[in-house]
Amino acid sequence: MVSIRVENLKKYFRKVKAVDDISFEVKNGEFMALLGPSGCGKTTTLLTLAGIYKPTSGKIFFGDYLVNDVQPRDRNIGMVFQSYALYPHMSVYDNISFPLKAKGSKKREFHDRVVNIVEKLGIGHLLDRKPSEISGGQQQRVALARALIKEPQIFLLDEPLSNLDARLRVMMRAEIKKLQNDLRITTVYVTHDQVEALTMADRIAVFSNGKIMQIGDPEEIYNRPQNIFVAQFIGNPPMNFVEAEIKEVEGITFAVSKNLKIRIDDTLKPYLKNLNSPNVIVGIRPEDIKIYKNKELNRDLTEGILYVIEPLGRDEIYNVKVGESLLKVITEEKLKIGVGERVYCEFDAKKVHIFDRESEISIRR
Amino acid sequence: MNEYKLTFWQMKKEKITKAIIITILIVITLPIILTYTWLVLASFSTDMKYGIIPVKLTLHNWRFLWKSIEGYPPIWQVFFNTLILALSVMGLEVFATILGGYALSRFKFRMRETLLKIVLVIHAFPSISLLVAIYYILKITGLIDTLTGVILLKASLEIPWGIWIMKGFYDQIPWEVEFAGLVDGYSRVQVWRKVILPLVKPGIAVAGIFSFLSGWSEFVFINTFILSQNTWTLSTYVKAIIGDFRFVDYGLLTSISLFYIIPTIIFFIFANKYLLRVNITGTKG
Repeated sequence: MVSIRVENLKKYFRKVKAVDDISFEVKNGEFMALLGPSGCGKTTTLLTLAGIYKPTSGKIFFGDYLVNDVQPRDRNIGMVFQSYALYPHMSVYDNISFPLKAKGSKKREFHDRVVNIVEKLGIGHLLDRKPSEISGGQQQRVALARALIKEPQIFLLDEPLSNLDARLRVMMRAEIKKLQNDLRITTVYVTHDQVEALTMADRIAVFSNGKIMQIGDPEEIYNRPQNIFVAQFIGNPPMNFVEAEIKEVEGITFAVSKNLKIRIDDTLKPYLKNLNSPNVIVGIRPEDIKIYKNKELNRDLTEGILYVIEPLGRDEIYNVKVGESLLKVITEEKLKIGVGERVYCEFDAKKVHIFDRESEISIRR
Repeated sequence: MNEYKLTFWQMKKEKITKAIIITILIVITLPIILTYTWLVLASFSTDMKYGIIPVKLTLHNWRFLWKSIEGYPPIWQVFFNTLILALSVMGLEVFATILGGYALSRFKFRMRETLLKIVLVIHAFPSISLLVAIYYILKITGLIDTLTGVILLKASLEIPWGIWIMKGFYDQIPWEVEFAGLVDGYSRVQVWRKVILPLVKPGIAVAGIFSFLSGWSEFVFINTFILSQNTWTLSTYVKAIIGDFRFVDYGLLTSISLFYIIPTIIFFIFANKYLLRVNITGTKG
């Protein structure tokens, strides 16, 4: 096991900046997710870690070793690809043992290891089949087995679950996490699915346009997004955003827009000095808004009209129109309100996110 | 299965269309089938009544197999010359195209697009227009009147097309498979040999078969650049019989023509499964 350190990594394809000056570290045995929309440079970063792309500039260390010029085959990595990239002309057994043959070991030496890992992954009965003769989920397991058979010091996964159906994906999510946990192998996991990143990773690096927007553990990424990009990318349904202005009325600080008035909690006040101007964007997550049928006294309520309801089984998403903007509210409570009726929203003052409108950076940086 | 209620006329219409199509196909293929049938019958018959009905069964026309015909080189020598020519062209082409196709498919280099276009254009030229120029080249290099000269010439004219075919097959293989091989501990050359090459086998078969056949049926270059009888190939042999100044032995001509076709048929029987997997872009999963 080994740690990974990336320093000022840049990767350009001609003039396209696929990866634009990023630095991060993956600790020994850590599970790191690279999360971002498609085309944000996360896969390029992974392939650079694998040694398939050479960095335009910057340094990559595995442990204390600078590996920039080390060939992929000498990096001791295991990798799982989105398409699995199994060798179609080889049987499952040959696919899995292929990395061992590279080191020149003989069948009698590695046979036990292959049997061991296929038993663990539950694909022992498939050894004689060709990849085209097994299901997507099974192919996925073969790819995992092939990546892990040589006991690599680093495990790289490139959107490994995106070709599976929804049910299988949820299952494999837990299984890969368990596998990583058992082996304690340093892992970098590329995904565009925030749920995968949040549920599996020890830490997440959120990518956008070849840059890292924020690195942190899932709790940090979710509850303290550093900028608007992270705030709107993480969370489902997405965070609500309202343009507002910071104002002080009778000693209480509010974020005020045309139709909204959101009180700002005392815990947030010290951060307000980070603002250059009172113009802000206020973000609030759908679960941090409470919705009432009747106007209740002694509460800061904002009036709106119920626009549409989206039932999710356990929860319901209420879309509330406040002035021009549409707020999404998610709650377990089933309110008996019809579309078009008047509702009242209450914002959880402690959970409000405030971003500078110009720089789009959170005041709690 | 959906069951459609077809009216009487609809069913009739379908049957009539089918009948028309089959008739057309029969009419189109009939000349080909008749030609070959005639060829086979004529080769085993002493004479053809009215030119189409075999009269008496004989093996006389096939005598060239066990004794040489006067004025012509022994058939087996000619056969082996042809075989050497075809196999050498095939070998050279396969060797050049598996490498060239990979390079053009996988490597990004300057002028790549232009090179691809030029290759196509070169292949489009009728080779007969190059005869004079080639004659000088062969003369200078001392390869005139040798099989080697024709082999090199034929291969070099066939390779560009083969490279295009092979490039199509390589293009079908996702990069990720190659990446996987690199990560699994192999060098790029090893990955090419152990992973990529087995996957383009149908392409190799196609390039091989077509170059073999084009070598086997080569006539123009042999006829132009080969002068001595002991480097004849079957195509010149057939031509010589047709052009015999004494008299044309049609029986002999038919049996030799058939003899000439046999390897082609055998080759196609073996290659069928590969050829059927080829579509415009390459091979299907």
